[in-house]
Amino acid sequence: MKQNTSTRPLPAVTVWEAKPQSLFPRKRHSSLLSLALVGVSIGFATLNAHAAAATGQAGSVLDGQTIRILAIGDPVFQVMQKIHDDMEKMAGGKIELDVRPFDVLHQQVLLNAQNPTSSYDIIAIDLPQFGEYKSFLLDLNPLIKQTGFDTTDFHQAAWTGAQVGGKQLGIPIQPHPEILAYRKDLFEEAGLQPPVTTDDVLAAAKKLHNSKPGLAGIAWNAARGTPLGQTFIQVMGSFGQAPIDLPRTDHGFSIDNIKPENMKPMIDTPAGLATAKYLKALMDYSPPGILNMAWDERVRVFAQGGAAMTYIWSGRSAIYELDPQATARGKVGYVVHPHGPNAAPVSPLGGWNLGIPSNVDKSRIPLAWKVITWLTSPEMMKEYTKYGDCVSPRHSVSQDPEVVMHCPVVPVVDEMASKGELADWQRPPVPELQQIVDVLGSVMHEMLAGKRTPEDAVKESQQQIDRIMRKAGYY
Amino acid sequence: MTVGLVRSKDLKAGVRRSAAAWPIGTLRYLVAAIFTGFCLFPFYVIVTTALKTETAIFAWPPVWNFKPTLQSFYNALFVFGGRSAIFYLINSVIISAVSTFVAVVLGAMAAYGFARFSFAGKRHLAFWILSTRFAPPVAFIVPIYLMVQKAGMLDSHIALILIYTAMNLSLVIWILRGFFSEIPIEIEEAALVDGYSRLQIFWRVALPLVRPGIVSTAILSAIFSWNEFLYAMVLTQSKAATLPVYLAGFSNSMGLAWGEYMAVGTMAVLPILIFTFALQKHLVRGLTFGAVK
Amino acid sequence: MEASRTDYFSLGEPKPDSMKLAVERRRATWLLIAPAFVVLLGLNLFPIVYALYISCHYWMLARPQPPRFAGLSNYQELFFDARFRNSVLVSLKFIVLAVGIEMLLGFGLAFVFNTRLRGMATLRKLTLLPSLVMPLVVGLVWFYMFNENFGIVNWFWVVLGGTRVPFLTQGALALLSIVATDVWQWTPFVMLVFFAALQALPEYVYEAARIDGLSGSQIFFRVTLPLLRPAILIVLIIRAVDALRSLELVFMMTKGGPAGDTEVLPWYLYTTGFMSPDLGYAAAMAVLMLALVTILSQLFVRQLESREVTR
Repeated sequence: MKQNTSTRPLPAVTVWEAKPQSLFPRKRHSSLLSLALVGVSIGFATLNAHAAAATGQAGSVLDGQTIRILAIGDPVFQVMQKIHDDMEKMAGGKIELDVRPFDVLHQQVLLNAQNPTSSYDIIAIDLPQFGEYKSFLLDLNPLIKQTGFDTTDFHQAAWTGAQVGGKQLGIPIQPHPEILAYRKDLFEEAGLQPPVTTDDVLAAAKKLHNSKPGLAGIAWNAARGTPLGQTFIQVMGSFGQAPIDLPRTDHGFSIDNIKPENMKPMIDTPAGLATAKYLKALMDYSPPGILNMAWDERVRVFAQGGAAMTYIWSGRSAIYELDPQATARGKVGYVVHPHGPNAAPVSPLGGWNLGIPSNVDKSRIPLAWKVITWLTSPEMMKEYTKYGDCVSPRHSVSQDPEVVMHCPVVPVVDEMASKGELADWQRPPVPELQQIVDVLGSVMHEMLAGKRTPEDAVKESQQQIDRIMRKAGYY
Repeated sequence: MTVGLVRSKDLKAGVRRSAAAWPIGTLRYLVAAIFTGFCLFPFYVIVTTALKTETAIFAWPPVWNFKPTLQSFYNALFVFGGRSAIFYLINSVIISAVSTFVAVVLGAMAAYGFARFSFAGKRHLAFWILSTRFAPPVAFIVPIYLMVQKAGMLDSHIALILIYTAMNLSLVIWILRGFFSEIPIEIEEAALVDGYSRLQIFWRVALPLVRPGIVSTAILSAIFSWNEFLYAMVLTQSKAATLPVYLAGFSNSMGLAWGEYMAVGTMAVLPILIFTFALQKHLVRGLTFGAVK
Repeated sequence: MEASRTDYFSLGEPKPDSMKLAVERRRATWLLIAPAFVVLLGLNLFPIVYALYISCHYWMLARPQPPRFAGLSNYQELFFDARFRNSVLVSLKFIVLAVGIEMLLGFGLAFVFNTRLRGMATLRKLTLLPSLVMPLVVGLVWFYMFNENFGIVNWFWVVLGGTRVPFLTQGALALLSIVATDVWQWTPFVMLVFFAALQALPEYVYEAARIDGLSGSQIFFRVTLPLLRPAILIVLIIRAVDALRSLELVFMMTKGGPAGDTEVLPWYLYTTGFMSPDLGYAAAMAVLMLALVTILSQLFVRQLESREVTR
C-alpha cells in the first residue's frame, strides 16, 4: 500500500486546454444515425444485465472469441475487473484483461511494440504517452469512417488529445483532470474560503493541519518517481510554465507543432523554483508517510478523513463518493488547480484511452475495434460510473442525472471545461516526457527529503533533462 | 563458540557425551529451534494468507485462527481478469523442463570431455565456463534483449529456453565434471579395450554411473530456471510469460490482490520446497560448484 | 591437474593404430565440448562484446530515431551521474550489511548445529528451505509482513512495546528491511556450507593440537579458523556476487525508494534500460558492472584453482 511507483494511477495529461472553446463538440454530422447503427450492431443494447445473460449468442461483441487487453490499475479498468464476469457474459466471449502498475505497463507497451506480432489486441494509453507511442499505434480514422463511429458525443479536448499529426490513435475511455478536492465542512467550520491560489492552499493547510487529531492539511503525491515527477510539472503549470520551451499562446502554450528548439527544459526558471518551494512548504502540512504517497493512497487518506484537501484525478472521487463508510462522502468541494502569482487557473487533463498496436495481427483488427467501440459506448461508460469510475468523456453520459447523482464531480469538471480551465500542455506529448518525469521524480524527492535545497534541485533537474534532450539529438 | 567447537569434536569421537549435554546442549536446542522457526515462519505466512479471506488478510491484530478458504486460489486460477495463473504455470513448467533437459545433455557431454580428455587451453576454457556462473543477468539484459529482438524471438519459449540453458551450463558442467572424475578410470579403460568408441563409453558406461549427479544438477537447474525473473520479465509479455512475470504484475494499489498473489506464490514455492528437501545431500556441493562437498 | 591419470591418451599411445585413435579422440573431444561451448559463446561472450558496442551509442528503446554513435559520452555521463554513484554506494552498503550478517550468523550457527544431539539433523534440514525459493515470492511475503498497517513484523514490534514502524518507507530502515529479508533467505545456505566444512575437518588435527596442549581458544584460532579459510572465502565471494546482482527484493518491496535509499545498481540499470528507456546508457552501466563482477569471479576462480592443485 505504500509503494510509490508500483501503481500509478491516473496520470493525466493533456489535451484539453489549448482550445478552450472546444468544449463544444466539433461538428461531425456524419453520425447520429450511424452511432445508433453501430450501437445496435455491436449489441451493446445487451448491456443491461438481463439481456446479458444470453451468453455467447450470435452477433454478440466477441461471438465466442477472446480479446486481449493490456491495461492499468486505474478506476475504469479496476471496475472492469470487478464486473469481469458480467462483461464476459455481455460480450459473449473471453476478455483477458491484464492489469499492470503504471511503470510496468509503460515498459510492457514499449517491449510489446518490438515484438514481431503484438501480444495484445488493445492497449491502454495515457494521454501524454501518445507522443512516445505514436510510431507504434494504429491510426483509427479509417476504422472510424468505415464503421461510421460517432465522434461528436466525446468531449472535444479528450477526443483531440488522442490525435497526433492528424491520426486518431486512441478512443478516450477515462479522461479526466487533476483538480483540488477540499472538505467543505472543515473549511466552513474554520471560516475558510475555497482555495484559489497556492498561497490560499498553504494558509488553509496551515490552519487545518492538526486542528483535529489525525487530520493533516493536504494529501498529495510525494512518492518518488512518476507520482512526484508528474505532480511537479502539473503544479508548475499552475505557476504558468510548461516543462519545456513551448510557444506561448493566449491561453497558455501550444503543443500542436513541437519543434526541436521547443525541447529545451524550463525547470530552472522562476516558476520552477516557486514550484519546488511550494511543494517543500506543503511537507509541513502533509500526512505521515507523505514521501511514499501516490495516486491511490492520497485519495484513501482523504476519504478516511486524514486530510482536509487533496489533489485528485477527478475520476478517483468515486473512492469516497460511492463508499458509505467514507468520512469524506458528500462533504467534498472541488476547485481547479490553485494557481501561483500572475498565472491563470488551469488544471491538467489526462487519463486513459484505448488504442490498437500497429503490430497486431491484421486479422484481429476488426475484433479489436469492435471491442473498443463497445467498451467506450455510452451504456458501458454509464455502467462504469456505478462501480467506481467518476469520469465521462461523453456528453450524453455526463448529463445523465443518475451519473451526476453518483458522481458530483462530473458536472464540476464539465463546468471547468467550458470555462477553458483544463489544459494539456503541462505534460506535452513528447517522447521524452517519461524521462523528464523520472528526473523530477527523483531529484525533487531528494529535495523533499532534505538532501537538496530547492535552488539546487531545479538546477540539477535542468541539467539532467538538458542532457537527455541533447542525447536525443534535438539541439 | 570455541568451547562448543572442541566439545563437538569430542562428540564426534563419541566421548564425554553426557557430561557436556546439559546447559550447553539445551542452549543449542534453543538457538537451533528459534532459527528454524525464523526460517519457516514466512512460509506459514504465505500459505495462510493465501487461505484467508480478504478481511482477515488486512486484519490488525493478525488473525491466527481462521477458517481456511480456497477462494484466493480459485480467483487466481479461474477468475481474476487477465490470463489465468495456470497459463503462466504451464509456461514455467515447459521452459524449466526443456531448458534443464538441454542444459544437462550439453553439460554432461562437456563435463565428460573436461574430465577425461586433455586438449590445449582446457584449463582456461574450464575456468571461463565457471566464471559465466557469475554473470549477473542484469548486465546482460540489454545486449541479450536486442539480440532476441533482432532474431524475431521476443515473447517466445525458445528464447528463454536457450538463455536458461546457457545460464545453467556452468553449473552442470562443473558439478558433473567432479562426478565423472570420481569414476574409477579402469572401468572405462576396460570398455575401450572391449572395442567401445569413446562416445559409446560416455553414453553407455560413464553416464549411468553418475546418475545421482545428473539428478541433482537437473533439479538445481530446473529451480534456477523456474525462479528466474529478469529475462522473463523483459523477453516475454504474454505467450511465453512465466510465473515470475505474473507475480511482477502485483500492484499494491489494488490492495485486494494479496490473497490471490499469495496463492500463486504458494504454487510457485511448493514444488521448490519439495525438491530442496529431496536435494539436501547435494545442495551445498551444487551451490558452491563442488568447492565444498 | 590430474590430467595424465585420467586421460585416455596414454592408453592409446603405444598401439600401432595410434594415429587413428588420436583422430577419434580429437573428434570425440570436439563433439563433446563444442555444443556447450557454442551456446556459451553466443549467450555469454558475444553479449559482452555487443554490450560494449551498444554502450558507445545513443540507443533508445522503441524510438523512431536510429542509434547514433556516441563515443565514450555515456561513460562520461556516468561519471557525473549522482544517481549512479548513489546506486553503487547503496549496492555496496547492501552487500556489506547483508553478506556480513549472513557470514557471522551462518558461522556461529554452523557450530551450534555441529553436534550429534538428537533431532538436530532434522532441524538443520528444515532451515535449508528458504535458499531456493523464488526471490519474487520472498519479496512479496516480506513486503506483506513489513506492512505498516497490518504487517506481522509490526505486530510483533507493537506486542514488544514499540509503536508502528514504516519499515519500507523510512530512509535507512528500508534498506535494513531488505537486508533482513536477504539474511532470512541466505543465512541457512551460509550456515550449511560452514557446517559441511566443519564436518570435513580431519579429527587427527584436533587430537594433535590437544596433545600439544593448546587451549580451546587457541585451537579455534590456530587450527579451526585457518582450516575453514577456503570455505569462508568461497561462500563470501559467492554471496557477494549474488547480492550484487539481486534486484527482485527491491522490485517487490521498495522500487528503489525512499529517496533512492534502496536504489541498488541492478535496479537503476534495469529502470534506465527498460523504463527510461535508454539502452546505451544502461549498457555502459552493465559494462562497468561486468568489470566489477569479473574481478570478484576471478578471486573465486583463483580460490578454486588453488584447491584443485592441492587436491
